Amino acid sequence: MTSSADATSAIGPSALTRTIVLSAAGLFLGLPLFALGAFTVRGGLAGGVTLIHWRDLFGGNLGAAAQPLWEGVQNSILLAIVTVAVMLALLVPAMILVRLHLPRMVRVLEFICLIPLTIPAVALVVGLAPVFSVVARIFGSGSWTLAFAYVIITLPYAYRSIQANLVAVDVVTLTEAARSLGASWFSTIKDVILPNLRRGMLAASFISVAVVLGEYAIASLLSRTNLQTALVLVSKRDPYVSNIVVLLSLVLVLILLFALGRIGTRSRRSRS
Amino acid sequence: MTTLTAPAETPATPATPIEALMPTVPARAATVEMIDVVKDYGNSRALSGFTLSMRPGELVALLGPSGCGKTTALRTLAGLTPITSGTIKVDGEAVAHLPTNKRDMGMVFQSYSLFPHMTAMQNVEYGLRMRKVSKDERRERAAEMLAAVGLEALGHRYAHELSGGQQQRVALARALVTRPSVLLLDEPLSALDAKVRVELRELIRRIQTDLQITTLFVTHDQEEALAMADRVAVMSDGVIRQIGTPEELYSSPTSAFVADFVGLSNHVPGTLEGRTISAYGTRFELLGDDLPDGDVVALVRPEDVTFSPDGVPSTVLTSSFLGSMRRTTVRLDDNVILTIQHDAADARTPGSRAHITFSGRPVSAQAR
Amino acid sequence: MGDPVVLETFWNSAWLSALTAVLGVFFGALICYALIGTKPDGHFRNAINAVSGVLAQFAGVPLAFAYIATMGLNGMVTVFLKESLGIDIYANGTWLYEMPGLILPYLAFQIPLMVIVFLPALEALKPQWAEANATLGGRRSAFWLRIGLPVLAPSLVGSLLLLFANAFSAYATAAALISQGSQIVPLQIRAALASETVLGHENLGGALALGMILTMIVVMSLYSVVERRASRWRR
Repeated sequence: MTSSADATSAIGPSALTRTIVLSAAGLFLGLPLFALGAFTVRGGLAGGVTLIHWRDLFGGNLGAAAQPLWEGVQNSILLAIVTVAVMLALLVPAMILVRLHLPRMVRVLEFICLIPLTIPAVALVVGLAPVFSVVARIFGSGSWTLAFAYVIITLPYAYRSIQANLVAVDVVTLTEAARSLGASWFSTIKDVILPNLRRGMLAASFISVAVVLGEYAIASLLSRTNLQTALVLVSKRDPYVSNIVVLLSLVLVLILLFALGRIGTRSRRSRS
Repeated sequence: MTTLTAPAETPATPATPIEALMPTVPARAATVEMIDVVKDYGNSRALSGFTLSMRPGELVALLGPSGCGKTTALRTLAGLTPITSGTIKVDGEAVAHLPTNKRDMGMVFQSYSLFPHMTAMQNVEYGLRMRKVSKDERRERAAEMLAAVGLEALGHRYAHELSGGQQQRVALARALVTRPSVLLLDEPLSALDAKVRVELRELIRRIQTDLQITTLFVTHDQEEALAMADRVAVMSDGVIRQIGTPEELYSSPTSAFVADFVGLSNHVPGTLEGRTISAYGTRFELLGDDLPDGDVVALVRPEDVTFSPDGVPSTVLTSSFLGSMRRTTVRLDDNVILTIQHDAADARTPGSRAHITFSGRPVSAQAR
Repeated sequence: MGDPVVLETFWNSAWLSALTAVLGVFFGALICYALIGTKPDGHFRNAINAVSGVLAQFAGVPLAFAYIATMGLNGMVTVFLKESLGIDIYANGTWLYEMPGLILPYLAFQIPLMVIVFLPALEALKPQWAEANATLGGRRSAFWLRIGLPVLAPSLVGSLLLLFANAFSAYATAAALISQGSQIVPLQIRAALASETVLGHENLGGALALGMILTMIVVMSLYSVVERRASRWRR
């Protein structure tokens, strides 16, 4: 069995080219992040490196300027949870239903789920503004109501993750097998289908969390507080704290996506 | 592997004989020598001292199980895989240091090798284009080659509009149009349907013979190898175990591996003394290397076992009708199971008794 | 909608998106090329995917902060250039907080997006094509010129459209960097929403949003047409 290294060396770059290109890319893309990190340990006018700002953050020794930040973090966490819950509760049953009983609706469902990609967040807000004034009257103007809008924008990514899982697992055959063995609908969904969709649902959740944490446009234009809007507010008064939190949130999302990738490759390897 | 939009395999128009098309282009049969070629991938050795000499115009089949190194051997000859050590010569000139595009060898891959954005005609013209042949001459020669493989009406089609068999015909035309000195085929028929495989097998053999082009053909299908080749080389673990004509390999295998791999074999327990094996009252001469005296298993072909009223008693297990012949399996009273190939008209019922005997032809054997 | 100010913002959005799309495609494709040959399921590739994902999502507030820290008035690079090489990049005005200043940050999320979108297309290049090219006498340059690039063309165009759409609809980065003025459409919408009482412009926000959506629909439709073409050859 020939190793793939032989075959692709016919197309691929030399080791030198690869090193140069990837290093240049790493420099261009990584420098801003490094600068961000360097800023957070800056020692004021005297120069030098200090961990004072980090200690302030974790020691709870924050000025009043940083208060909105806590509110933003809490809101974003709450938003992430609500968004994921609503998204899964709406999407998973719909997708299973369509896949099993309404095959002709697959195209329609796919189209609906991919539409949000064409609507920029800004444009969405313009359309949603009147809706949200109604929502505010019913549910109050807490930030968590943003979750309804967030479900819409995470729909495309979540749909793709779950769809890939549904197709790979062949839900139709599994359901037929379960039913022929005498299982009720409830038991079929609970014991046969859902466990096999775990990977897709997890992927959809991770991506949704990443999107929700990074969302700024809708929150800011509807004058609600979430992580990103709080960061902008706080940065004007205490840039150190806001930059540290930015770094931390990036690291969190990086971990999320890396874990997501590992789930994906583990499933691919086990299938071969 | 059939694509949904490709048409069903339409019977190809009878291919025009090559000589009628290109009488003026001379044959360029080359001699190929691969001497002691070794290929290592890190710690694992894919080829260990692979040695093969090919005469001008002959078709040699490299036959063996997966992982035996046959594809690696082909690719080192093509230059797609660099060798660790050894010599490769074409017409006496060393070529191991030459990159693939300077070796003047045509190659047909197992699948997916047609350029997807070009028509069949453009694919075939590609090699001529690389050689800076003029546009008109390119067009003419490509059209002739497509006719030779039976596809003259389909030159304007793209790969995804052609069936698997048609794609391989185009690949063959593309490889041959530049009149290379050597033709290499890497399991070109493995991905095709059975019927298409047989048609294409005959086309390849016919063109190869007409053009007298030295050809190396890799396959894991022994029927294909026996049907097509002038000589067959059976490989395992990176070396050639035996090379010879199909008849030689079939009737005089020099090792149990070859006897088992090429054609069906019955495993008959017996006793070896010197060069003679005794089993069930019949004496067989040993083929191949010496073995220590004692218990052995002789490898007997199904057609060398026959029904005879005063033979060894057995019970019939199954009897399959295969059109031109029958294959019946029997269990001897000591529980040894044999397969017998015999006349189609002689039907046997499972459960009935039968007596079998051996024709006594020389056999190869392995220790028990 | 025919207001010259509005037209100017659409034009600004358009050229910014087009420029960063073209540059993003070029550099992103280069990075993808450099990644050919790495194991698709290996840790390195997985890390690259995750990093690209983060960077593509980076757009907005974090990116703006990072660029301020790098190239802002007191940014690392600004200070370095001023003190070590005597170059004051802001001698002619504070461009980071205006239109031209958006180019670099936009590239910082366009390039990773290109890597995410284009890498699978590059993987679809079958090694058999390169090998067939070699056996037929073609050099590496012939392969790319006659086979590689033509086959990749639909994917490249598709990626270009996608990157254009992405830049066109981006809001957060610009909003965080540019606090005064509304040079591009999203910022114009921000202004329109904030000041409902501007005479004669009551429905400006809605009109602008509609304009944006229409642009996006056109671009995304083109994209799906091109994608279908590309997938035909991937079989």
